Amino acid sequence: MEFDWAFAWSITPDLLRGLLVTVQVVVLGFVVAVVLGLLLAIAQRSAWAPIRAACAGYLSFFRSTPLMVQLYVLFFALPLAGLTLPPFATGVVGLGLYYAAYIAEAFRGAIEDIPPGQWEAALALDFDRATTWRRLILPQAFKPLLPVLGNYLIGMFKETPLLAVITIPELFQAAKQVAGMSYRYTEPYTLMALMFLAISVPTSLLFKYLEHRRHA
Amino acid sequence: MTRLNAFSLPAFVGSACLLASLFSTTASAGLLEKGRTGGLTAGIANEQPYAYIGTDGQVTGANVEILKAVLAPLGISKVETPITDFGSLVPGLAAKRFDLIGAGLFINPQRCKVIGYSNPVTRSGGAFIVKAGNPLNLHSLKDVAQNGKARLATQPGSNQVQEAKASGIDTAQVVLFDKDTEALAALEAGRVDVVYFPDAEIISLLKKASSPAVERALPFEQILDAQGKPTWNYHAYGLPKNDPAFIQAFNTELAKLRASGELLKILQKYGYTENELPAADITAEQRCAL
Amino acid sequence: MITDTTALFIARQLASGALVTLEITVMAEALVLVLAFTVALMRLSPWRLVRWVATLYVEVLRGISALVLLFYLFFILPLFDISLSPMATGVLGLGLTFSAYGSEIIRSALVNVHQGQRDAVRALDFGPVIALRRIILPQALPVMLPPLGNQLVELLKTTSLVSLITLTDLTFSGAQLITTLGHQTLIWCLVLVGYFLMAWPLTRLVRWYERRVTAWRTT
Repeated sequence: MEFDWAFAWSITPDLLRGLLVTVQVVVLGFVVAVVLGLLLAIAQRSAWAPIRAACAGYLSFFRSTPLMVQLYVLFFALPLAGLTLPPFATGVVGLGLYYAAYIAEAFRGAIEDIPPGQWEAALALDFDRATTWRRLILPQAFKPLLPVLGNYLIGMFKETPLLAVITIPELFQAAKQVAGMSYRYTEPYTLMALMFLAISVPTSLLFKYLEHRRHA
Repeated sequence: MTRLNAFSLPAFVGSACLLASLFSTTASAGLLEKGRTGGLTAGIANEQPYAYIGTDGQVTGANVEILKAVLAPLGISKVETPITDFGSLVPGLAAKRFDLIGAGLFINPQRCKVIGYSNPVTRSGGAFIVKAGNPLNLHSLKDVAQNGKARLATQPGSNQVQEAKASGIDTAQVVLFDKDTEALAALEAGRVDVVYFPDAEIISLLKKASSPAVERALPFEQILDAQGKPTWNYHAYGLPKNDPAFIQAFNTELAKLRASGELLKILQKYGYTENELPAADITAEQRCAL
Repeated sequence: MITDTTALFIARQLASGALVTLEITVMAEALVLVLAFTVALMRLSPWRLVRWVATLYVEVLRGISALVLLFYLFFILPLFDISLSPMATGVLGLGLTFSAYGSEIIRSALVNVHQGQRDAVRALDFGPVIALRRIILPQALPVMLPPLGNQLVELLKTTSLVSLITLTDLTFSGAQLITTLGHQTLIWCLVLVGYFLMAWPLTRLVRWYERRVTAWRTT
């Protein structure tokens, strides 16, 4: 199967436009996931059982069902209940809700790894709960979390092709469109795979570097 | 580090064998022969009224019935209809994932490069579904292009996408859905402003619309050709490019079906009229050469 | 609102879709285990070329997502005259992708077996195959099973991607039902419940095993 370089070059701008949308959705979705994940991790340690149960239910549900089906529900079923979000927002919310469940678990693990001595010291020094969290626990929890968060960021980036089913014009959708109109598949899909690699491999190397640097 | 290389080779060979066993060889027999012995597979996209799954779970539709009527005299009685999404029909046939395309497919020159076609079966224009009252006053593709902001919903890989582009509609205005029912749901939810599909499909879609808040945009101006006359799009069956004997036999039977009046009878069951029959002398070659 | 026959129709379609999902999961997991073990051992090989090839395999497959790989296999392979059924394509695509991650899990479990054990194996002059089979692997297995178990749950959920290469799994069956019948909310909810019922017991099993294995460790 010959690879038509001229054709590949001509479709690159369309694919790059899709890539830009991909990056935008991932960055915003990641922010949502981290914030929500942190809240969930804190709420899981709450003294009130109903809150703990609700968190456990959330985590259980979002981790046991596929992201694609969750996106379908958010996009097609929610409007019937009266809530219609634009596709981009739906994608950000969908990614955020799904990955928050995983990041919450990661936060929980990191927080539990903090020696109980820290908590006791905070108690002895009469810190209130907010200060304890803000100045003592969270800064210590973040350090070992970095590689894990990095993995989830890259994972989220690679899940973006799913957003095509809710009509977000990201990279995979762009490639499918080009292929659908021209009936040539090698060039768009190869370029798409290369663009994915071009982003995920350097990002993973970057995180590996950061991880080693902190240990130095 | 322990020396573990002795273990890798057998494992490697084992997995290679496993992979090899997943490969299947395809024999290249003419479709006439294949159909008579084992039956044929016709890819469909589950769209009304062409080829779809009815509420009883059986495959039905204008295209399916006509297909069976054409193939029966050739001695081919077994036709399976795997479902795929519309955008995968043409690449699927090109990749020999099924023997022919049983869904409604327009003839266009780009597709002709990749697959073959039977002679046209029906012709149709396009149609719009809009919100009741047609708030944006859209009566043609040109109107959508001029509006600049109106969002048009259609299917990836469809002729409609190319028509939209040719009419000057910006890519950002075109929203693609794998299924026509999803496009309708999007219109009802206010995510798009207009749904564009061939008229037969629009008529069937409207029957499924759950709210009276959508309607067909009338009057509708078809795409005009160079002389300013409205153009038609022609539906045909996608056939393998490299099997001229089959295409020939298929077209002969199709012509017979039409001459006997059976074709029109089947079509009328699904809401078509005589107006949708193409002129008798139009062939696939003509449409491909455009 | 929904007649009995319709409800039965829905149930039948979704059940057969769920069966296909399970089928793909089992076959893909078999492939994952075979490939992951092979690649993990290749990464620990004393030959640099072997190590290098394995590393390339892992990096490339982890860098592109499962969906990209599935589409590539589905649309591009036939152009090279390699014709795989959609089922084989799905199993292969998922198997390759998850084996890259799986090989990392297995490799790190093997490497993290206590150095003392590996020294003892050397000192007692065990051959490499026997060493692996009787000493290293039994100790590495409890460590690698929980993450592999979690990966199996991920694999189960990721099978929903094969609906995009026209395999009639649970997601695809749901989508087709909606096209025919409507009832969007109901059917998507049923699909979600279906996945939940398949994934959740597996997750609990993994958690239980994990707790049993680490019980001897003091927190």
